[in-house]
Amino acid sequence: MVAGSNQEVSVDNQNHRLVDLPLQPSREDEPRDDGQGAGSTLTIVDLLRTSRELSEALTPLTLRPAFRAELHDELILSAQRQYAQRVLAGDFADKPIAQEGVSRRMVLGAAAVGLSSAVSVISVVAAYYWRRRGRRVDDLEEAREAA
Amino acid sequence: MRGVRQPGDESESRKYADMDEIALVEQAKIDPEAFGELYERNVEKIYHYIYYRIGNAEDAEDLTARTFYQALDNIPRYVEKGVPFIAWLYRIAHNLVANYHRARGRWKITSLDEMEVSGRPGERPDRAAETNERLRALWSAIYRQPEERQRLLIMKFADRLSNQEIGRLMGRTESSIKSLYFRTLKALKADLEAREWQ
Repeated sequence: MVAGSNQEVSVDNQNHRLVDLPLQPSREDEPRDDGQGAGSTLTIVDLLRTSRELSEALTPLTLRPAFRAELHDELILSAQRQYAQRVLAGDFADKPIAQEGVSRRMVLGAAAVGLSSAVSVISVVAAYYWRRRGRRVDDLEEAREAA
Repeated sequence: MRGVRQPGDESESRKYADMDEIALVEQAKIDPEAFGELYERNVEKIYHYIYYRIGNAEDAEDLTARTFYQALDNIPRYVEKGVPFIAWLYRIAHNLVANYHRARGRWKITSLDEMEVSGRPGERPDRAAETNERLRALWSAIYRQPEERQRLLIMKFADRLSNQEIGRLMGRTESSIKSLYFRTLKALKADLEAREWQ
Protein backbone atom coordinates (compact mmCIF):
# COMPACT_ATOMS: atom_id res chain seq x y z
CA MET A 1 0.00 0.00 0.00
CA VAL A 2 1.47 3.35 -0.95
CA ALA A 3 1.45 6.15 1.63
CA GLY A 4 -1.21 8.73 0.81
CA SER A 5 -2.95 6.45 -1.62
CA ASN A 6 -5.74 3.97 -1.23
CA GLN A 7 -4.56 1.86 -4.11
CA GLU A 8 -1.76 -0.64 -4.34
CA VAL A 9 0.66 -0.23 -7.18
CA SER A 10 3.08 -2.50 -8.91
CA VAL A 11 5.77 -1.96 -11.48
CA ASP A 12 5.35 -3.31 -14.95
CA ASN A 13 8.98 -4.08 -15.52
CA GLN A 14 8.52 -4.49 -19.24
CA ASN A 15 7.44 -0.91 -19.69
CA HIS A 16 8.95 0.62 -16.56
CA ARG A 17 5.65 2.14 -15.49
CA LEU A 18 3.39 1.77 -12.53
CA VAL A 19 0.29 -0.30 -13.04
CA ASP A 20 -2.82 -0.64 -10.93
CA LEU A 21 -3.48 -3.70 -8.86
CA PRO A 22 -6.92 -4.88 -7.87
CA LEU A 23 -7.81 -3.56 -4.42
CA GLN A 24 -9.34 -6.84 -3.41
CA PRO A 25 -7.40 -9.71 -4.89
CA SER A 26 -9.36 -12.83 -5.68
CA ARG A 27 -8.91 -15.98 -3.63
CA GLU A 28 -6.58 -17.24 -6.34
CA ASP A 29 -4.25 -14.41 -5.40
CA GLU A 30 -3.90 -15.39 -1.76
CA PRO A 31 -0.35 -16.42 -0.92
CA ARG A 32 -0.01 -20.11 -0.25
CA ASP A 33 2.82 -20.17 2.16
CA ASP A 34 2.64 -17.00 3.75
CA GLY A 35 3.76 -15.13 6.74
CA GLN A 36 6.55 -13.82 4.56
CA GLY A 37 6.44 -10.10 4.20
CA ALA A 38 3.11 -9.83 5.94
CA GLY A 39 4.11 -6.93 8.14
CA SER A 40 6.32 -5.16 5.66
CA THR A 41 5.40 -1.89 4.04
CA LEU A 42 6.46 -1.06 0.55
CA THR A 43 6.94 2.42 -0.82
CA ILE A 44 7.27 3.23 -4.49
CA VAL A 45 10.98 3.85 -3.92
CA ASP A 46 11.40 0.37 -2.38
CA LEU A 47 9.41 -1.11 -5.20
CA LEU A 48 11.50 0.52 -7.91
CA ARG A 49 14.73 -0.30 -6.15
CA THR A 50 13.91 -3.98 -5.64
CA SER A 51 12.62 -4.22 -9.16
CA ARG A 52 15.81 -2.67 -10.55
CA GLU A 53 17.98 -4.97 -8.47
CA LEU A 54 16.03 -7.98 -9.66
CA SER A 55 16.67 -7.00 -13.26
CA GLU A 56 20.38 -6.90 -12.43
CA ALA A 57 20.31 -10.22 -10.57
CA LEU A 58 18.24 -12.15 -13.09
CA THR A 59 19.77 -11.13 -16.40
CA PRO A 60 19.06 -13.06 -19.61
CA LEU A 61 21.87 -15.54 -20.25
CA THR A 62 23.38 -16.72 -23.47
CA LEU A 63 23.58 -20.44 -23.75
CA ARG A 64 27.03 -21.76 -24.67
CA PRO A 65 26.80 -22.04 -28.49
CA ALA A 66 28.73 -25.34 -28.55
CA PHE A 67 26.40 -26.88 -25.97
CA ARG A 68 23.32 -25.61 -27.77
CA ALA A 69 24.42 -26.98 -31.16
CA GLU A 70 25.63 -30.26 -29.71
CA LEU A 71 22.39 -30.91 -27.83
CA HIS A 72 20.39 -30.02 -30.95
CA ASP A 73 22.28 -32.56 -33.02
CA GLU A 74 22.07 -35.26 -30.36
CA LEU A 75 18.34 -34.74 -29.99
CA ILE A 76 17.79 -34.96 -33.74
CA LEU A 77 19.78 -38.18 -33.88
CA SER A 78 17.94 -39.61 -30.91
CA ALA A 79 14.60 -38.55 -32.41
CA GLN A 80 15.47 -40.29 -35.68
CA ARG A 81 16.22 -43.49 -33.78
CA GLN A 82 13.05 -43.32 -31.73
CA TYR A 83 10.81 -42.55 -34.69
CA ALA A 84 12.41 -45.35 -36.67
CA GLN A 85 11.73 -47.77 -33.82
CA ARG A 86 8.12 -46.62 -33.82
CA VAL A 87 7.91 -47.21 -37.56
CA LEU A 88 9.14 -50.74 -36.99
CA ALA A 89 6.67 -51.22 -34.16
CA GLY A 90 3.88 -50.15 -36.49
CA ASP A 91 2.99 -47.01 -34.51
CA PHE A 92 2.40 -45.07 -37.69
CA ALA A 93 0.50 -47.82 -39.48
CA ASP A 94 -2.82 -46.00 -39.15
CA LYS A 95 -1.40 -42.52 -39.65
CA PRO A 96 -0.85 -41.00 -43.07
CA ILE A 97 2.67 -39.65 -43.35
CA ALA A 98 2.13 -36.46 -45.26
CA GLN A 99 5.61 -35.77 -46.50
CA GLU A 100 7.80 -38.17 -48.37
CA GLY A 101 10.86 -36.40 -46.89
CA VAL A 102 9.69 -37.24 -43.38
CA SER A 103 9.33 -40.93 -44.06
CA ARG A 104 12.69 -40.97 -45.83
CA ARG A 105 14.29 -39.47 -42.73
CA MET A 106 12.60 -42.13 -40.64
CA VAL A 107 14.12 -44.80 -42.83
CA LEU A 108 17.55 -43.21 -42.46
CA GLY A 109 17.01 -43.08 -38.72
CA ALA A 110 15.93 -46.68 -38.72
CA ALA A 111 19.07 -47.57 -40.59
CA ALA A 112 21.08 -45.73 -37.95
CA VAL A 113 19.38 -47.81 -35.24
CA GLY A 114 20.59 -51.01 -36.77
CA LEU A 115 23.88 -49.74 -38.09
CA SER A 116 25.75 -52.46 -36.28
CA SER A 117 23.57 -55.12 -37.76
CA ALA A 118 23.23 -55.45 -41.52
CA VAL A 119 20.20 -57.65 -41.02
CA SER A 120 18.28 -54.96 -39.22
CA VAL A 121 19.19 -52.35 -41.83
CA ILE A 122 17.88 -54.62 -44.55
CA SER A 123 14.74 -55.37 -42.59
CA VAL A 124 14.11 -51.68 -42.00
CA VAL A 125 14.51 -50.82 -45.66
CA ALA A 126 12.34 -53.80 -46.58
CA ALA A 127 9.69 -52.62 -44.12
CA TYR A 128 9.76 -49.19 -45.69
CA TYR A 129 9.29 -50.51 -49.22
CA TRP A 130 6.64 -52.95 -47.98
CA ARG A 131 4.70 -50.04 -46.54
CA ARG A 132 5.14 -48.00 -49.71
CA ARG A 133 4.01 -50.93 -51.80
CA GLY A 134 0.99 -51.37 -49.53
CA ARG A 135 0.14 -47.71 -49.94
CA ARG A 136 0.48 -47.97 -53.70
CA VAL A 137 -1.85 -50.97 -53.75
CA ASP A 138 -4.36 -49.00 -51.67
CA ASP A 139 -4.09 -46.07 -54.06
CA LEU A 140 -4.66 -48.36 -57.04
CA GLU A 141 -7.69 -49.90 -55.39
CA GLU A 142 -9.08 -46.49 -54.60
CA ALA A 143 -8.48 -45.38 -58.17
CA ARG A 144 -10.19 -48.55 -59.45
CA GLU A 145 -13.16 -47.97 -57.16
CA ALA A 146 -13.38 -44.36 -58.26
CA ALA A 147 -13.32 -45.46 -61.92
CA MET B 1 27.30 -35.24 -31.53
CA ARG B 2 29.46 -32.89 -33.60
CA GLY B 3 29.81 -33.44 -37.28
CA VAL B 4 26.27 -34.65 -37.77
CA ARG B 5 25.19 -31.37 -39.23
CA GLN B 6 26.28 -31.01 -42.82
CA PRO B 7 26.89 -27.76 -44.73
CA GLY B 8 23.57 -26.43 -45.88
CA ASP B 9 21.69 -28.20 -43.13
CA GLU B 10 20.99 -24.95 -41.30
CA SER B 11 18.13 -23.98 -43.60
CA GLU B 12 16.84 -27.54 -43.39
CA SER B 13 16.80 -27.41 -39.59
CA ARG B 14 14.85 -24.15 -39.55
CA LYS B 15 12.39 -25.06 -42.28
CA TYR B 16 9.64 -25.09 -39.65
CA ALA B 17 10.64 -21.67 -38.31
CA ASP B 18 7.39 -20.08 -39.46
CA MET B 19 5.06 -22.91 -38.48
CA ASP B 20 2.60 -22.13 -35.70
CA GLU B 21 3.19 -23.97 -32.47
CA ILE B 22 0.21 -26.31 -32.41
CA ALA B 23 0.97 -27.62 -35.90
CA LEU B 24 4.66 -27.83 -35.06
CA VAL B 25 4.05 -30.00 -31.99
CA GLU B 26 1.92 -32.38 -34.05
CA GLN B 27 4.61 -32.49 -36.72
CA ALA B 28 7.26 -33.15 -34.07
CA LYS B 29 5.50 -36.41 -33.23
CA ILE B 30 6.54 -37.75 -36.64
CA ASP B 31 9.45 -35.58 -37.71
CA PRO B 32 12.77 -35.11 -35.87
CA GLU B 33 13.39 -31.78 -37.62
CA ALA B 34 10.16 -30.39 -36.20
CA PHE B 35 11.28 -31.46 -32.74
CA GLY B 36 14.55 -29.65 -33.45
CA GLU B 37 12.58 -26.48 -34.14
CA LEU B 38 10.68 -26.83 -30.86
CA TYR B 39 14.04 -27.16 -29.16
CA GLU B 40 15.40 -24.02 -30.83
CA ARG B 41 12.37 -22.01 -29.79
CA ASN B 42 12.41 -23.02 -26.15
CA VAL B 43 15.89 -24.04 -25.06
CA GLU B 44 17.04 -20.65 -23.75
CA LYS B 45 13.98 -20.13 -21.57
CA ILE B 46 14.28 -23.61 -20.11
CA TYR B 47 17.98 -23.04 -19.46
CA HIS B 48 17.26 -19.73 -17.71
CA TYR B 49 14.67 -21.37 -15.53
CA ILE B 50 16.96 -24.21 -14.52
CA TYR B 51 20.07 -22.07 -14.10
CA TYR B 52 18.36 -19.57 -11.84
CA ARG B 53 16.75 -22.37 -9.81
CA ILE B 54 20.02 -24.20 -9.16
CA GLY B 55 22.77 -21.61 -9.68
CA ASN B 56 25.27 -23.85 -11.43
CA ALA B 57 25.94 -23.58 -15.17
CA GLU B 58 27.26 -27.10 -15.68
CA ASP B 59 24.38 -28.80 -13.88
CA ALA B 60 21.95 -26.44 -15.61
CA GLU B 61 23.19 -27.68 -18.99
CA ASP B 62 22.81 -31.25 -17.84
CA LEU B 63 19.24 -30.72 -16.62
CA THR B 64 18.37 -28.75 -19.77
CA ALA B 65 19.48 -31.72 -21.86
CA ARG B 66 17.49 -34.12 -19.67
CA THR B 67 14.40 -31.92 -19.98
CA PHE B 68 14.48 -32.17 -23.77
CA TYR B 69 15.24 -35.89 -23.77
CA GLN B 70 12.22 -36.49 -21.54
CA ALA B 71 10.15 -34.28 -23.81
CA LEU B 72 11.29 -36.31 -26.81
CA ASP B 73 10.39 -39.57 -25.07
CA ASN B 74 6.94 -38.34 -24.14
CA ILE B 75 5.94 -36.18 -27.08
CA PRO B 76 3.90 -38.96 -28.74
CA ARG B 77 1.56 -38.79 -25.73
CA TYR B 78 1.46 -34.97 -25.56
CA VAL B 79 -2.06 -33.62 -25.78
CA GLU B 80 -2.71 -30.00 -26.73
CA LYS B 81 -4.68 -28.29 -23.94
CA GLY B 82 -4.67 -24.68 -25.05
CA VAL B 83 -1.54 -23.71 -23.15
CA PRO B 84 1.83 -23.00 -24.75
CA PHE B 85 4.07 -26.02 -25.30
CA ILE B 86 6.74 -24.51 -23.08
CA ALA B 87 4.42 -24.84 -20.07
CA TRP B 88 4.84 -28.62 -20.47
CA LEU B 89 8.62 -28.21 -20.75
CA TYR B 90 8.64 -26.06 -17.60
CA ARG B 91 6.80 -28.83 -15.77
CA ILE B 92 9.39 -31.39 -16.82
CA ALA B 93 12.20 -29.00 -15.84
CA HIS B 94 10.50 -28.26 -12.53
CA ASN B 95 10.39 -31.96 -11.65
CA LEU B 96 14.02 -32.42 -12.58
CA VAL B 97 15.05 -29.40 -10.50
CA ALA B 98 13.04 -30.74 -7.55
CA ASN B 99 14.79 -34.12 -7.84
CA TYR B 100 18.13 -32.36 -8.12
CA HIS B 101 17.55 -30.46 -4.89
CA ARG B 102 16.19 -33.54 -3.16
CA ALA B 103 19.32 -35.45 -4.10
CA ARG B 104 21.53 -32.68 -2.76
CA GLY B 105 19.72 -32.10 0.51
CA ARG B 106 19.96 -28.51 1.69
CA TRP B 107 20.85 -26.61 -1.40
CA LYS B 108 19.64 -23.09 -1.21
CA ILE B 109 22.78 -21.34 -0.06
CA THR B 110 25.54 -23.60 -1.31
CA SER B 111 24.96 -22.99 -5.00
CA LEU B 112 25.14 -19.22 -4.62
CA ASP B 113 28.92 -19.27 -4.47
CA GLU B 114 29.03 -20.66 -7.95
CA MET B 115 26.91 -17.94 -9.48
CA GLU B 116 28.87 -15.58 -11.62
CA VAL B 117 28.87 -12.07 -10.31
CA SER B 118 30.54 -9.23 -12.14
CA GLY B 119 30.54 -5.54 -11.36
CA ARG B 120 29.49 -2.92 -13.85
CA PRO B 121 32.16 -1.74 -16.30
CA GLY B 122 34.19 1.05 -14.76
CA GLU B 123 32.83 0.44 -11.27
CA ARG B 124 35.29 0.96 -8.38
CA PRO B 125 36.40 -2.37 -6.86
CA ASP B 126 35.05 -1.54 -3.36
CA ARG B 127 31.74 -0.44 -4.87
CA ALA B 128 31.64 -3.55 -7.05
CA ALA B 129 32.23 -5.76 -4.00
CA GLU B 130 29.34 -4.07 -2.23
CA THR B 131 27.11 -4.56 -5.26
CA ASN B 132 28.07 -8.22 -5.41
CA GLU B 133 27.30 -8.71 -1.73
CA ARG B 134 23.92 -7.13 -2.27
CA LEU B 135 23.26 -9.36 -5.30
CA ARG B 136 24.15 -12.47 -3.34
CA ALA B 137 21.83 -11.41 -0.55
CA LEU B 138 19.09 -10.87 -3.12
CA TRP B 139 19.66 -14.29 -4.70
CA SER B 140 19.46 -15.88 -1.27
CA ALA B 141 16.20 -14.07 -0.65
CA ILE B 142 14.85 -15.18 -4.06
CA TYR B 143 15.75 -18.80 -3.27
CA ARG B 144 13.83 -18.62 -0.02
CA GLN B 145 10.66 -17.74 -1.93
CA PRO B 146 8.15 -20.42 -2.95
CA GLU B 147 8.83 -22.01 -6.33
CA GLU B 148 5.93 -20.21 -7.99
CA ARG B 149 7.37 -16.81 -7.09
CA GLN B 150 10.84 -17.80 -8.27
CA ARG B 151 9.37 -18.94 -11.57
CA LEU B 152 7.52 -15.64 -11.94
CA LEU B 153 10.72 -13.63 -11.37
CA ILE B 154 12.75 -15.75 -13.79
CA MET B 155 10.12 -15.43 -16.52
CA LYS B 156 9.76 -11.70 -15.93
CA PHE B 157 13.41 -10.74 -15.78
CA ALA B 158 15.53 -13.45 -17.42
CA ASP B 159 13.01 -14.35 -20.14
CA ARG B 160 11.58 -10.82 -20.41
CA LEU B 161 8.02 -12.12 -20.68
CA SER B 162 5.02 -9.85 -20.21
CA ASN B 163 2.55 -10.38 -17.37
CA GLN B 164 0.04 -11.67 -19.90
CA GLU B 165 2.48 -14.26 -21.26
CA ILE B 166 3.46 -15.34 -17.75
CA GLY B 167 -0.21 -15.64 -16.88
CA ARG B 168 -0.79 -18.01 -19.80
CA LEU B 169 2.16 -20.14 -18.79
CA MET B 170 1.21 -20.28 -15.14
CA GLY B 171 -2.51 -20.72 -15.74
CA ARG B 172 -3.43 -17.44 -14.04
CA THR B 173 -4.93 -14.13 -15.05
CA GLU B 174 -2.78 -11.13 -15.86
CA SER B 175 -4.04 -9.24 -12.81
CA SER B 176 -3.30 -12.25 -10.64
CA ILE B 177 0.29 -12.21 -11.93
CA LYS B 178 0.61 -8.49 -11.11
CA SER B 179 -0.68 -9.20 -7.65
CA LEU B 180 1.68 -12.13 -7.16
CA TYR B 181 4.58 -9.97 -8.35
CA PHE B 182 3.73 -7.23 -5.90
CA ARG B 183 3.55 -9.70 -3.02
CA THR B 184 6.85 -11.20 -4.12
CA LEU B 185 8.57 -7.81 -4.04
CA LYS B 186 7.11 -7.19 -0.62
CA ALA B 187 8.30 -10.56 0.65
CA LEU B 188 11.77 -10.01 -0.77
CA LYS B 189 12.07 -6.65 0.93
CA ALA B 190 10.91 -8.13 4.25
CA ASP B 191 13.37 -10.98 3.89
CA LEU B 192 16.27 -8.62 3.16
CA GLU B 193 15.30 -6.34 6.05
CA ALA B 194 15.15 -9.28 8.42
CA ARG B 195 18.78 -10.00 7.47
CA GLU B 196 19.70 -6.36 7.96
CA TRP B 197 19.84 -5.46 4.33
CA GLN B 198 17.92 -2.30 3.57
